[in-house]
Amino acid sequence: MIKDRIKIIGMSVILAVMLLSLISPSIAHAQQKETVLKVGIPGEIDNFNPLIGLFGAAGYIRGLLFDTLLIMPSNRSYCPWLAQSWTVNEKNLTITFKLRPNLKWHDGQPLTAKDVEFTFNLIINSKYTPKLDRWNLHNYIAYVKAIDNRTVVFKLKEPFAPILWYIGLLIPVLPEHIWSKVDPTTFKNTEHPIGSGPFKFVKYTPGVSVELEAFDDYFAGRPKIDKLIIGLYKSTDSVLLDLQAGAIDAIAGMTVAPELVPTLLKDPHIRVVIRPDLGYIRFMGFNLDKYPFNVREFREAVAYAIDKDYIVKTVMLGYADPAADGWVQPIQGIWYNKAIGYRKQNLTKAMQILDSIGFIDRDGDGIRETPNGTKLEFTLLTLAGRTEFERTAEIIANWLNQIGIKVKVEAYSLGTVDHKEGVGDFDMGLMGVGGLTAEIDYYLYPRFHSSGAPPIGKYAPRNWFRYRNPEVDKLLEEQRTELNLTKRIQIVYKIQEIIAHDIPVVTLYVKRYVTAYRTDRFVNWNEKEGPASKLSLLQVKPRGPATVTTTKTATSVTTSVVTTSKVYTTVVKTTISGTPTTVVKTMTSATTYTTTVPVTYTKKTGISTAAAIGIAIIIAIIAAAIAYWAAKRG
Amino acid sequence: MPSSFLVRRSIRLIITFFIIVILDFLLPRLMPGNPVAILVKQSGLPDSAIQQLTKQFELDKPLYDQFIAYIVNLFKGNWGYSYRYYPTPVKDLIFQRLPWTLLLLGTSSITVFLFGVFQGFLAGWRHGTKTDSTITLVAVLVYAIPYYWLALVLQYFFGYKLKWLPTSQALTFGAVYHNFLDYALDVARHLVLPVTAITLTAYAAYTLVTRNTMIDVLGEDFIVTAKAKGLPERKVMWHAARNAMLPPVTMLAIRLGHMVGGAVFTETVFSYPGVGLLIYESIIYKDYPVLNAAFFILAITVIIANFIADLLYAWLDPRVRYR
Repeated sequence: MIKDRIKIIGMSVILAVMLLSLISPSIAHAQQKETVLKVGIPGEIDNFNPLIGLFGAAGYIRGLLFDTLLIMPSNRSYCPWLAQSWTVNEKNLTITFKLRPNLKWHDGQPLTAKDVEFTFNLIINSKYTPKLDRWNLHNYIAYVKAIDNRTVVFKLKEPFAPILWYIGLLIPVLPEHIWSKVDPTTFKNTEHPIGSGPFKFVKYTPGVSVELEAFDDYFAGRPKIDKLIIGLYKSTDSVLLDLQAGAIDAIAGMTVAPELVPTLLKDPHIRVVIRPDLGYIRFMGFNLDKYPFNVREFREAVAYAIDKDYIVKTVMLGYADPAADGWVQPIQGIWYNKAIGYRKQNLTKAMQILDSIGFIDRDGDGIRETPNGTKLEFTLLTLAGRTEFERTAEIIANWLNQIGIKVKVEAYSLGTVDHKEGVGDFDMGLMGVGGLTAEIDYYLYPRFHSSGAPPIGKYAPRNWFRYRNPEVDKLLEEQRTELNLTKRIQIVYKIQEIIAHDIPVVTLYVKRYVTAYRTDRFVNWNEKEGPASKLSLLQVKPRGPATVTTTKTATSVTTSVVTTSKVYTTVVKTTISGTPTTVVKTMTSATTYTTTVPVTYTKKTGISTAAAIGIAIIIAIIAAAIAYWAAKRG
Repeated sequence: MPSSFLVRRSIRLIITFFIIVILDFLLPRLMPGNPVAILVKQSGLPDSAIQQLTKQFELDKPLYDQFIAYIVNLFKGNWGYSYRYYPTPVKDLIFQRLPWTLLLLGTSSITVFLFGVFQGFLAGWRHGTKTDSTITLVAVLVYAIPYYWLALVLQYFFGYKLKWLPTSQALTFGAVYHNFLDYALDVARHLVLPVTAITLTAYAAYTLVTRNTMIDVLGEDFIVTAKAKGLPERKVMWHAARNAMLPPVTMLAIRLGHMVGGAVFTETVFSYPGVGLLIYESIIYKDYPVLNAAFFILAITVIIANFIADLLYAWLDPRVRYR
């Protein structure tokens, strides 16, 4: 028995030691001399090849590793980035970019106009073109040529208004000295990607994280943080839990669900930010090749049955805006036609319209019939497992029932919904899309041009409601070739008017993009551009206990837009030195500002050692007691 | 072990294998939806990219051509490229994640088995006492709790409220390891909550089965004989336990498939970078090559586990002959 008891006590001690080692502050967190900022993102890495990459999470990191010629801040204007200025010559159809001086790649090689020429030639004029040119840019660009080390010219085949978005923002500049030696269609670039962005690649642990470090030679100045670690998460819930637990400082690539915002707001160290320029549109599309959805008045009646404000208030808890009827939304800035607005619910009017086109309930069962006697019974297709969609669909079905249209909600998985809508096997479909930040042509053309609407049975990717209107087709083609911005805006306005009148889809609401970050470890976040954005990460710095106020004359940053009547030229000059400054700001005078001294930060996780020992001892005593009791009884 | 037993088992194994191979190819492709269309739309590429990628993934070829290519690749041990992670070979993707799942499932299988079976023995041995009723009651209660809910509660309480353990991932990102112990400790810390979640939700089945078998076995003649010839309590218990062990061993093999299902949930809740999560994501995006490979590996694992269980069974119970 004594032998047993010794055994039991021995076991308890071992157990206690094991528990202790688990809950005590791990050695893994031993002193970090550098300032490390951690960002959590839901998603995965497919590759670090910007030409073939698909994933959002990887896209975020590719955006930090690589730079584009231009950048588009939240005010939605093209601003200089790798290129310090550019000129558009409307007559010659040329765009000339002037690069900043002394640009460098992460491996120290100079970044020149030759690299720009190489990158775009790879896409539009190489043996890889069929696989790489996903945007059919070779249809628009005749050639790309480096004039000297800092000047590169793009010659267009025909006027193509959205071009700046593709060459300035979408496609980053790649280093010729590396990419000329690889097959860009299968190059994963996960070993040691070389870019020119503010952060250099350090390490990629598949499924866990990507580590980056500040690039010393960055043209806008070295970031104030030494290391940036991007944690890859599998669910948005775990990202938020870790943000609250303090394991990460900011989140990226996701929007916070409205019902979770109050919990985040309770934490004094967390700030919740609503991005003014981002959002997702939710809408209901009709199968326009099916009767009675091809009757405009019928669609109008359905539109009048819907109360967008109510959905925003109940389903979205206010974290959305009622959507404008013309597909283009107010957050899209200059492109939004302010005269459009949105239809308010009017059930009486909806019923009047249905009466006027002969859709009347003749047998008194509460469901209207078409003039030839078919009951108005339809299905509303939506995504399963997405509360937002399911609830909205139920609410809409209820309103439609009230005006005598019987609607059954059917929710399926993404693949099924996509297939059913694509081939036209549906009545009405409730869906959502992002992409409101994309070039307006990209946002409108594939969805409303008849070329995207094959007959029912054939898969239609984006224009699955099958909208075909020759007038809209013509306007969509016109705005593509209209290089004069004012005129182009007028065409886009006109398109919105027609869509708002035709109602091929009922736009419902624009979900707001809600993000959050912690304020206890870092300061100077850029909320306007998004806390985890490139512009924000360039200026964010560690919070230190000591604050020193210094006076410094800021270098001038000027932004000017020159537009001449004949040749439409845009020249934007930005000098950034000293502190990285967002190009949106204009500073000319001497300013007094505060700098905080970075202080080494040591992270401690877990509970204190003393507490851990205490708990371990208590557990050991309990374990020993149980074991003793068991031994005695056995 | 006579060779005829092995031969017959092997033939059955091969037939099962071929049925699995065919199902494995067909099932993902029978789900509605076009993987390329979903990828293109989700990543905001233009409509024209659909044709481009369909060609790239060879989905434009007829189904039988795809099947032949799949079989040929299978025997070459090459599973092609993942659609979502293009151009990552499926092999790389799975072998990056398999160790994590094996670690999670291996650890939890052991804890589930030991914890569950031990409690079952105890309850069965003390049949009718307070110990028995407490163990049974607790087991039934815990058994009724949904997997993911328990996982979320653990995560919230130990990770977020008490901050004792990490809430997610398999490693602390950004950690610097000085030696292997450091690394092992970090892995262990991340393993505690997922393993606890799986153990708590899965052990009850073992406890209940073991308890019932134990009660049955205790009524057998040989136990009476053992007691009659004056064998000490402990030895009698071991006699009974060894016999009561048979059903749980079989269960372990059969439930391996269930455990993988549990791993999908657990890995999703804890953001644990394993195969279960990969399967979940691949189903949503219809990543056929990944699904084929993952299902294939799982099916093979379950077959092998059952085969081993057969052998173990015979070893544990001398009455079972290899016929």
